Amino acid sequence: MKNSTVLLVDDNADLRKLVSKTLTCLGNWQVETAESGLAALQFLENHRPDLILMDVSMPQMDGVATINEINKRQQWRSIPIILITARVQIHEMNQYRHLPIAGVISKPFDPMKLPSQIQRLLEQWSPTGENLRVAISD
Amino acid sequence: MIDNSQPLDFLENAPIALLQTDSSGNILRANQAARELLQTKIVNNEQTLKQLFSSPELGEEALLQLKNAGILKEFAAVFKTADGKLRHIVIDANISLNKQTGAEEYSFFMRDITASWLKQSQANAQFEITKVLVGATAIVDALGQICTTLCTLLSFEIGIVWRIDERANRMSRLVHKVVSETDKHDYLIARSVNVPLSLSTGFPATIWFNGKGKVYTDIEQYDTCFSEPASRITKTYPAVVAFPICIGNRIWGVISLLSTRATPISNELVTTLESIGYQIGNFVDRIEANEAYLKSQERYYVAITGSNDGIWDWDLVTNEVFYSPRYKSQLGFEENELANHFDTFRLLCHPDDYQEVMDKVQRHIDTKQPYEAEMRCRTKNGDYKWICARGQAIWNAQGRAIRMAGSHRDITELKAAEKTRREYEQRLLDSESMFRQLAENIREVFWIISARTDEFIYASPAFEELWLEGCDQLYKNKEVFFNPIIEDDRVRVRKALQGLMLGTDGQYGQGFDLEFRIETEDKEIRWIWSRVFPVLDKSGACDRLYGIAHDITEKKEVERRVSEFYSTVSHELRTPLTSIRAALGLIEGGMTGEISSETMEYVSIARDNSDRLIRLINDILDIRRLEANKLEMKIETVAPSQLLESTIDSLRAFAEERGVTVSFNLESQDRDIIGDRDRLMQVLTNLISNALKYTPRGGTVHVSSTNNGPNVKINVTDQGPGIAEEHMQGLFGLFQQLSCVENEFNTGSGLGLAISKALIEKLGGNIGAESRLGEGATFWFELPALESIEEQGANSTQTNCAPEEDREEEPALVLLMEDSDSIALILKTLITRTGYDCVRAANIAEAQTLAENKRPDLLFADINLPDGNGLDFVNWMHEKFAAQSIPVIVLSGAEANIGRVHHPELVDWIKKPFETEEILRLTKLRAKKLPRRLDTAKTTSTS
Repeated sequence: MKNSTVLLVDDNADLRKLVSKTLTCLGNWQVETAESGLAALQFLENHRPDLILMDVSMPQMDGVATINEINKRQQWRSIPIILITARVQIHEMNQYRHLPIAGVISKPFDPMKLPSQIQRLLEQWSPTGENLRVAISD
Repeated sequence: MIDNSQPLDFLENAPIALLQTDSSGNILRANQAARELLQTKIVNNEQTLKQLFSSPELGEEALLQLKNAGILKEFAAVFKTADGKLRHIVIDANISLNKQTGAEEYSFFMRDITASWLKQSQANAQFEITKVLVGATAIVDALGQICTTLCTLLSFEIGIVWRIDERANRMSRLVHKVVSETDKHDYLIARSVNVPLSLSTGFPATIWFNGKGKVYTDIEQYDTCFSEPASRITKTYPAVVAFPICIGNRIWGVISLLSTRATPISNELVTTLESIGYQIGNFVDRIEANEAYLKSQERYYVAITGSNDGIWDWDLVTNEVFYSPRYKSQLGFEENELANHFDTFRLLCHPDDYQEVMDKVQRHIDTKQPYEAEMRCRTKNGDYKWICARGQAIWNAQGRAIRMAGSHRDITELKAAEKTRREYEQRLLDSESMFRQLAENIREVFWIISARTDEFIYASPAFEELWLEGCDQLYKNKEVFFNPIIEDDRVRVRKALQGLMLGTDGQYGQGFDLEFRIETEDKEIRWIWSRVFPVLDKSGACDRLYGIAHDITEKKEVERRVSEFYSTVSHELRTPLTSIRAALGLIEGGMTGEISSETMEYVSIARDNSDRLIRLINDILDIRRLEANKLEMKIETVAPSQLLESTIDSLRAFAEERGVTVSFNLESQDRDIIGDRDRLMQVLTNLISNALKYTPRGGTVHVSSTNNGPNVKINVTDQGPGIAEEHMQGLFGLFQQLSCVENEFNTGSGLGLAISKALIEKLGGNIGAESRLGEGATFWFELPALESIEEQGANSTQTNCAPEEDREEEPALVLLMEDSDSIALILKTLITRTGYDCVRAANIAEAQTLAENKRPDLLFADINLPDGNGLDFVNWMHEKFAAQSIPVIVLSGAEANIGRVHHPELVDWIKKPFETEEILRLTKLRAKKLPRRLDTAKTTSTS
């Protein structure tokens, strides 16, 4: 999986920079970024990433809503999505339980372990599977 | 040109009642509002102000004050209107000069405060009565005081209390108090001494028949009083109100207040008086219990003094004893049946008491202190009697005791009397505490349900404020209580109350707390907290249900806001920390290029501390959820080997960094345990990382799982400095850190062990530590093994091959409809562990077949099943086996959606993740048959 493309959706510019750096240096990923759910949807119209990393708390269209939009398009459903969020209290996690996602990575995370965490989640993922595995960052 | 009529027109139509008089009080004019207030046409110059007052002296006084001071402020008065009613009025007045006539004119502004006065006097009455009752000790005195208080506060002239006799034949007058000085009451006083209790008597017997307070104002409607035409009474007394004194639903007596003057009586007043009636009832009950208690005490003294003592005389040298004939007959023996020797006593005295008696004898002989002992002595027919012995020894010149003589008194009855006395004392305490509860918590809703009739027999006035329905409506129809409760909560509340009344659940014996929501008329939701507790009768069945309740909407709102606040804070703290941690991680990981080793050192410090901050935030959130009891647990099967391996794996890097080896071995043959995998990992991570921190470089942390009876025990042993005994105590408390340890290790939040303890205990396990200073420490936790629970279930099912005729004895059969294998296994284990039989269906089709063939007594239903919605099956089953009305427990991840089921009264709703206790409690509660006794099942299977 050399030079796979990942779409990183996060409204926080610092985070976009840090995650890009991490994945580029440690994981041989090519990282594209979007600062909102809407920008992500626009990106998807013309591109097909191998993975989407999605923040949950974003203004206007949040991560959950964006995932629901993505899921409406048959051709986008096979793209694995991983939530990367600071909202990981139990009542918040329960909201993700029925989402068609490959997993959740909690913020804050250790950048040095991020690529392997992503790899592990991707290995367990299948487009039809609904099992949610949660990777804990430490 | 100024029109003089204009200001007059203005005054005429002004919304405030205005009256003008000349300086001697003759009325010059009154405006419309004043005429309405006084219900009369006022003809100028023909009436004086004084005539309006209920007492002319008060009018005089008002005029005088006005004359002297030139102004009158907030003068309280009572006016009598033209139709004889009394109004409470506040007057402001001033003096002005009529420019045309040059004469002084007095202007009176009047405000009608009758309504608020009534309210105030009601509150006063309630307060004063409570004061009287708290201090009173005798019924008649207290009732006299109450009559006087009520008459004074509510403007009545005479108060009468009747007592209803035991057989409810008559009402006899107990008290009458006259407040006014008229002699008009002679007829009433003569007639009211003894009143037959029959409907034709009319007033006041009707109160007993209706059981409610009443205002007797309408002469036409109540045509008899004291068996005579009502007009005889109502002519003299235009204001009559009467209400019952109730002890629970028994009417003990009736109080009536009468007045020769019209006085305002509102419906609210009647309700207040009724509640006062209940308060008095409680008081009477308390006093009667006290009197019964005193009587029982009297009996006690009779028992002491009236008995006929037996005499004994013991020769300490020969051990011969003279027992008097009374001594022997006391125990049922004839004169010649007992030998006159000490051995006789030794045989008769109860072996458990003998030694103590002899010790007392010895002490008397040694110290010359008076001798008295209580013991049981055997009678001829083998029963024991309680005996009180007293005696005195005789010492010879050498100081040696040679003889001892005394009495034996039969105190069996005394002991019994003492027991009854204690029972009465308890009853007294009970009724007293109930009384206090009522008197002191008058602002809380307080209600009583009779278990026998399943009706509300009392509710405090506060009920009306919360439910916005009258208490009397509630007494008529208990649905008044349930209707405003929102649908999702209603069935639960109803079931809880019924369960308590029927005593279907032993653990409800102490009562329980309920929280539910009611919807007000304007669609507002109020949260109600309620505590309900049963009062049992002698046979142990529920006699009454007491409930208190209050509005906790605001508290709930605060709780919600606090929870929201924590969520926000958590998120707001995590977001910047994410950037800090990621940036530091990248620098430390060398992703941003080479840095000097000194810079590296400082970056590591920063990264370490941001890690610590993250852990602290997690821990604080955990603690807050634990404290709010909001921490949810999954229930799943966990393999200890997997738990140990993955936890140790995740800590491998940390161990390497610290230069400590982690070894582990499994001695528990990998018996699965029940718990929440993530939470168990959290606990184990905490224990192992602590061990790593305290173990010096080069040392080993040993992790093992062992069998401990039915439990699997996980041990984490370190080679650290150990823990001193004085520190072991608070080890699992909040913010505990060992001060004996050097600073560099103090990196935890101090919350880890407290959280671990709470988590393990919530999962039904134990946690602990063993250590000696200088010898390392072992931290452990243990949880029940799934297998041991299954074994219990298996043991009980072995006896299931019962012959046909034993079918009646079979335990309830539970049908378990659940598609997840692991949840089904756990539930099946829980159910069989409780002593029921259980069959499992993995989908609706299987469930239908099983239901038709086996006729289950209880159904556990999941909602999302591979072949449809579980609730549809529930409805199908209830229709198919309508006669059995099979109870259902729905297990669902979704919020209760009771509206979809056709028979909500049969359905309980448990939200996943579920608590095992909740499952067990509900299973026992709902299954109509008893579970098999597990201990007997075990013995049969092993014999």
